[in-house]
Amino acid sequence: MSEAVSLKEVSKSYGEIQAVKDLNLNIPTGIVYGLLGPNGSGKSTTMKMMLSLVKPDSGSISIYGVDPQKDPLAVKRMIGYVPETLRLYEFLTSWEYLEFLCVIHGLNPSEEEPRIKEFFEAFELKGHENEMMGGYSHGMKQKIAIISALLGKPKLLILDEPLSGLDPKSAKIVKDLLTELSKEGVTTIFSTHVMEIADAICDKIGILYNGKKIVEATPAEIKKMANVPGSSLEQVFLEITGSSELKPIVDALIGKSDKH
Amino acid sequence: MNLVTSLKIADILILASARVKSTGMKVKSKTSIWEYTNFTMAAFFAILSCAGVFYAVQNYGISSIMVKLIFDQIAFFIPVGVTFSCIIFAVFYEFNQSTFNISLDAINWLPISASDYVLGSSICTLYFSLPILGLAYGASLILALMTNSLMVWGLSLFLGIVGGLIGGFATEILRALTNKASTTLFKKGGRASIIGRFILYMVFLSAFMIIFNSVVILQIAEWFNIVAGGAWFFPLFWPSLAVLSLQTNDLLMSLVYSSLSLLLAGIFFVTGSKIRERNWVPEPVSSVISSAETLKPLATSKGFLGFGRVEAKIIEKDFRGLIRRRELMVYLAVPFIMIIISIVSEGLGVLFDPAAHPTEKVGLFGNFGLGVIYLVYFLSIISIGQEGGAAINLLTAPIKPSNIARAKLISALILPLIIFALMILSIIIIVKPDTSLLMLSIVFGLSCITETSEVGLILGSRFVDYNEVPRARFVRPEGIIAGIIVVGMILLSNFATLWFAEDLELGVVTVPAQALMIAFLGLILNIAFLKILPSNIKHGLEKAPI
Repeated sequence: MSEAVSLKEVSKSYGEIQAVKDLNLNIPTGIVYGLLGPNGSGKSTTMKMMLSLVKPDSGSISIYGVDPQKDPLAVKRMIGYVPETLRLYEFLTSWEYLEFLCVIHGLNPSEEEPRIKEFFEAFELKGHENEMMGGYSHGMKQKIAIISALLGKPKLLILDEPLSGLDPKSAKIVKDLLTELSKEGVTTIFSTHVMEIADAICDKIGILYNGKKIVEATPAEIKKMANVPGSSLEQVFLEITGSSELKPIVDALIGKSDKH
Repeated sequence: MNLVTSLKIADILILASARVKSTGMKVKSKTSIWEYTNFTMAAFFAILSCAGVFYAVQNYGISSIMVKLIFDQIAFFIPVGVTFSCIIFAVFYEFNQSTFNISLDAINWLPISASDYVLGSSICTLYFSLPILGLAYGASLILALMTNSLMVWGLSLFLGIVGGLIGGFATEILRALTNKASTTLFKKGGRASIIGRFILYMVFLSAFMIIFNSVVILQIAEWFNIVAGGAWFFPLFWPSLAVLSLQTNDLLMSLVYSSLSLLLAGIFFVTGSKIRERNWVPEPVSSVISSAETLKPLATSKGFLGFGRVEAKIIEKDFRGLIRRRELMVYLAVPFIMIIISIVSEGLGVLFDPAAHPTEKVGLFGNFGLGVIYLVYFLSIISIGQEGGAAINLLTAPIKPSNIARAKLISALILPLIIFALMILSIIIIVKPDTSLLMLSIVFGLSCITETSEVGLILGSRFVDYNEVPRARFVRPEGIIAGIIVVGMILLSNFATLWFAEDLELGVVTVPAQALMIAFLGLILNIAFLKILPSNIKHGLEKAPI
């Protein structure tokens, strides 16, 4: 399998805060790669560097052989992106917004309409096409953000918390879609805090902690690391990110700290 | 009411704009005084105007009587001028809040009273007018020192601040009333309701701006022949009348008008607080543009006027925003306000006076043209900032900055050019000028409009402000001021070319010569601005929240 994404010794800091440190990633084409880690571990910064939105301080990045800093336009043509915080044009209807994105991504005019309709039906948004998005619920907006990432037929999907706010049925659709796209050779990198989702759809998982990659393996391999039969991915995650000793913290928060 | 809370609200509203330029995660233990740039700018303008006036008085042999006269006029005009400038500035700069974003603002669910908010917000409005105040008070301070009128200056300063707060409170009343309009009339609806909302806002804003315009009030006062003794009839003049009374040593009346001014500020404040209490937050509009069955065919989205599909789509998006977003509608009201104010102040008599020279008649349209310049200036300077958080759509899209620059330029130019074309058509029908004068008017207008749009876009990108809460300002205040200065210089250079060409005495072809020279200047400036535009747009977009 050829490499879709390659990061070599990539570092990025914001002032005194080291967001990413000497990160190496090699993501083969056509897999679903889960980027996990606690808040502030550097997942979003890593994704933004792949998109050329953030410039790394050092190291090199290659997206299908293209350096995002040298040719951001070529990289953007290959990527579909769902940001962590939704950023839609609230004053447009979803139909107008997706039509806008079709043109921006250079889709053939004849395939725009059927493609948008297909997505509207799949995500059960039919009947809402002509409503201004300002009136949408969070889940509906999230669906539109996911559609907008898929619309331009990307080779690489970068999805930052794509399933937050989605109802179970839509979440299932997205999961199935990612698996199908993977079979067609589309690479997906996505972050999530829900371990069951990562376990269910990821071919490979990388866990970041304080800007560093501490583990990279398949979900099954990661579960084996716990050395306890029947361990869940969540248990292993908490163990390796040093968050397993939560009871004293919880107790302290509810005022039982003096008992410890 | 809690003054500490109000000051804290004002502080947050001010810092929202001041901190927008910090893109990195810089950690500071406490707020630096230098973040409040308008204090520095006000001090700078005060010193500058102080020095300028001192130099002018010393070097141009202005008599002491004349100095006193000038001071008296400035000191009288400052309080009322501050009130009106605060209203104008607030409506154009502090009024931009999308209903959707205000409905999500934390201020809605925090334990803050309406009066705390109204006072805090008005102090913030006053803060953004500080550079103008610095300019006026700096110039008048040196004159006051020269004429031994420090007490009058002090009263003028105090009542100027009161006037500024009155302006801020008046804007809060308008803000709360538009919240009400948005909530009660347009929660749901279709295309017709969008158009209805657009028209209502335009009428609402235009009426407000015209009612609170000093030129209009003075003209109305003149019509009723009450300027000299009866200005008391207009409460907004009370602060200025207090200053005037002190100038004529009528201490009692000065005290009465000062007290009335404070009372007026109180009334505006209480009214603003009461209205906001009832209409705290608008509900986001949830319009259905048309029925689900009637989807617009996509194949029609082709380019136009030599522009590609990408540019055409961005232009279309921007145009939709302009008529659907309440925070943008205010800019469309500008030309109408300017035209109405111009008609009220100067009348239309000269247009139909057979003895008037055609140049004089075309000159009257020049006043209307200023409205078009305002329109193109604001549409271009806010063009990048109005993308807000959604700018990431352009940032992550596979399009070049030059495509975005072209689209943004057309978006900003399209409406002003239509209005300009209508103006030229009116000139042809009403004035019937000769070809050379008509050509000059067209070249002059086009030159000013295109140059202004490019400068607006460049500065709007350089000083972009993507904040959507607590205020969406689209551009930082330094950008607005820098833009006004640069556009002023551009207009001046075009006018200077007119005068220069006249002085050359190029025989009988003076007017075409003027047109040629302006076209030449316009060509050079346009090429220069267009050259640097894409890189500035790229720079602006890179500051978008990601």
